[in-house]
Amino acid sequence: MSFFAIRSATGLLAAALLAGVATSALAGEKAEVIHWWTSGSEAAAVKVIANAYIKAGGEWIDNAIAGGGGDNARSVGINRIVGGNPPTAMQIVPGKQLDEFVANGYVRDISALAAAGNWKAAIPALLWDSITRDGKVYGVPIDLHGQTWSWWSIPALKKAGVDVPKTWDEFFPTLDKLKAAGIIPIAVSRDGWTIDSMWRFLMISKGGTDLFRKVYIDHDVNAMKSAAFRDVVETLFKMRAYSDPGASARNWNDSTALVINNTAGVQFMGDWAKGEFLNAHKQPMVDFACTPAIGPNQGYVFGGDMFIVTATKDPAMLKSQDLLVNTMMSKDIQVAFNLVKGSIPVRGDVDVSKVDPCGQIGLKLMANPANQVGDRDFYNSPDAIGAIQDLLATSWSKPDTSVDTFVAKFAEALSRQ
Amino acid sequence: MARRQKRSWGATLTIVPFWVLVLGAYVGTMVWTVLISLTSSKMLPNTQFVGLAQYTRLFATERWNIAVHNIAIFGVLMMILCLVIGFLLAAMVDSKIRAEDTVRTIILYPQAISFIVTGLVWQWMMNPTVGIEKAMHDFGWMGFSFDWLVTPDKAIYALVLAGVWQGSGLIMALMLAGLRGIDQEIWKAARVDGIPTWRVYVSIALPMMRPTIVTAVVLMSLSVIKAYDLVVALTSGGPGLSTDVPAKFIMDFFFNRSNIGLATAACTVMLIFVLVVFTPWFYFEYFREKNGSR
Repeated sequence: MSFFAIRSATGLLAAALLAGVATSALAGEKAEVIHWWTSGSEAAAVKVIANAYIKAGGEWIDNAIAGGGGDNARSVGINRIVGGNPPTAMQIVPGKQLDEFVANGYVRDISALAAAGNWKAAIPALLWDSITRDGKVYGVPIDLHGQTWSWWSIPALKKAGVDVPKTWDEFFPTLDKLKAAGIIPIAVSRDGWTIDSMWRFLMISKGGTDLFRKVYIDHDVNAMKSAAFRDVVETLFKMRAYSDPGASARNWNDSTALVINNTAGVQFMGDWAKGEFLNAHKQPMVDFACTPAIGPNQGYVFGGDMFIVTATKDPAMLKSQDLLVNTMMSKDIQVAFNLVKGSIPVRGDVDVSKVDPCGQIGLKLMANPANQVGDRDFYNSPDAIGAIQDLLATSWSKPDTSVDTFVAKFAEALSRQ
Repeated sequence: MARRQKRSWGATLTIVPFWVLVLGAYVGTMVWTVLISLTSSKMLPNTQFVGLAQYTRLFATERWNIAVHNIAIFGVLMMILCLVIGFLLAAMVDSKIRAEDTVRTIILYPQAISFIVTGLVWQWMMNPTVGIEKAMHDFGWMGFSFDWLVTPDKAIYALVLAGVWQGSGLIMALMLAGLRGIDQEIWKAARVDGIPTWRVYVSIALPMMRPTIVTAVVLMSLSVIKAYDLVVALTSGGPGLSTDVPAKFIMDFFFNRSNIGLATAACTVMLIFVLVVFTPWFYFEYFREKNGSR
């Protein structure tokens, strides 16, 4: 109580001293945003939002926390919420993470803002489901990232005298030709999640959308025992022979570099790899080819980034949150932000003509709801996903793993949600 | 008597903040960790008690067993190799060589480098596509093979190699201090008796250096238990999970996998292990020393 009195007294004093300045500061909405976008293109993308927010009369306090794929930023955000000093908004990974925030009452219900901004009609149905809990909206989806892409070096393919394979029958012969031409066929990296990227590419493109959904959404054990699933596992195991010994000492972007300088033929990675190509001044479809699908299956696995605004009763904070959410979801910012970030806008009602050729492929696939598949994070706990990554990493490094063992362990890992 | 009472009052008051710190920051957090390990906490700590369920799951987790197995191999090999190499180096430096200062500095140098840098440097050297193996092939020695880092069964030895390179310098310094602490008269007496030098080192110097060796083992066991940065920089736990260690397991489950319950259970197991294995031994060693010196 007394603390409050002192604080308001100081406030009054400050207001009296700085009459003019103080009024404008009071009018400005102050937003402190915790996020983990620190790389070149990411930071530039944040700037797009920040500038728009400032232009709309707000004050932007940037709180970028690097490291751990967002783990560090998330820890800081959670600690501040629990400690009673919540930030205006913070970034989280869409999916199961939201559940615990909502269950603990840490997130503000922004259904009214979503209704006013007509989000439901504008964004993919699956994404809508991922930001709502019990019919209420809790998340601000800001971008869509394709999670399962393949990136091919066109000069490397030319050297081997082949094209990007159009069917799965052509897949291994293409890799054989690359190998014969002295090129590392597949650029594999050391971390479990990078093997997981390759695995999900196979799941969606070879296994198909049905299999992907049955396994990752329904956790259907029979689907995991099916011939189609076993085929995906066998394909993954067969791909081991097309890697190189250096793989277990490489990060994902080191592998992308191998494709960029035509030492390797292909890398399986999400669409953030595109940023590496573009940074190296490589042209899509000229220097490198991108495809999320080989063969007739046209599923598109998408994930993305999401912000939550924290629960609060402070009217000033509520006002700044309103402005922040509306800025992030406005049509102009959606286009401008995603162009810089290399992702695609979540809103279907915006002009996407400036999106690069790879992004256009993604947009075309996303246009058909039958192709839309939410990434595993939407339906599985980080714990279960981690267990699967452990399994993939061990199985990849140990050639004597049998398909039966893999299937049994996969089912066990997914059962622990 | 009264005056003494008064003085200890002041002393007690001075010490109170430290007790608060020790009880709150160390003991308090330990108790909290053990409590959380008995709950179903996921991303956020909760108080839904589930008994020993987290421990049951922990011991059934293949990854944890791999991690424990690895830390055992790493710990035993690292301690033996560091002690042997450290002692040999110390004996060498002690034998009145020329430019002793320079040699000592060179040997101690790796200790001044952080584990992260050590890990990265060795990662490059041991990577068969860019490191030593590639260099040997370029020199024309095509049969040369040094692929520890990328072979699941050998990667843990790559970790030991980097660890020993970094750690043996400090052990050398400790051992050298121990050797220098031995009375020169003993050496003279041994020489008069015609005892060979190696015999003096093994039968006289080593037993006299017991406190030094205990200190070295304590320091090394600490760095083994908390081994994390070296692993992350050198192998990131791979290939597969072949070089995973408990500290990395705990960090992954704490942050990456949002499973505080399981992570704190793993912490508690580590704590109990340290308490059961090390405490009685430390107590025995130091208690013995105290009694012996008085």
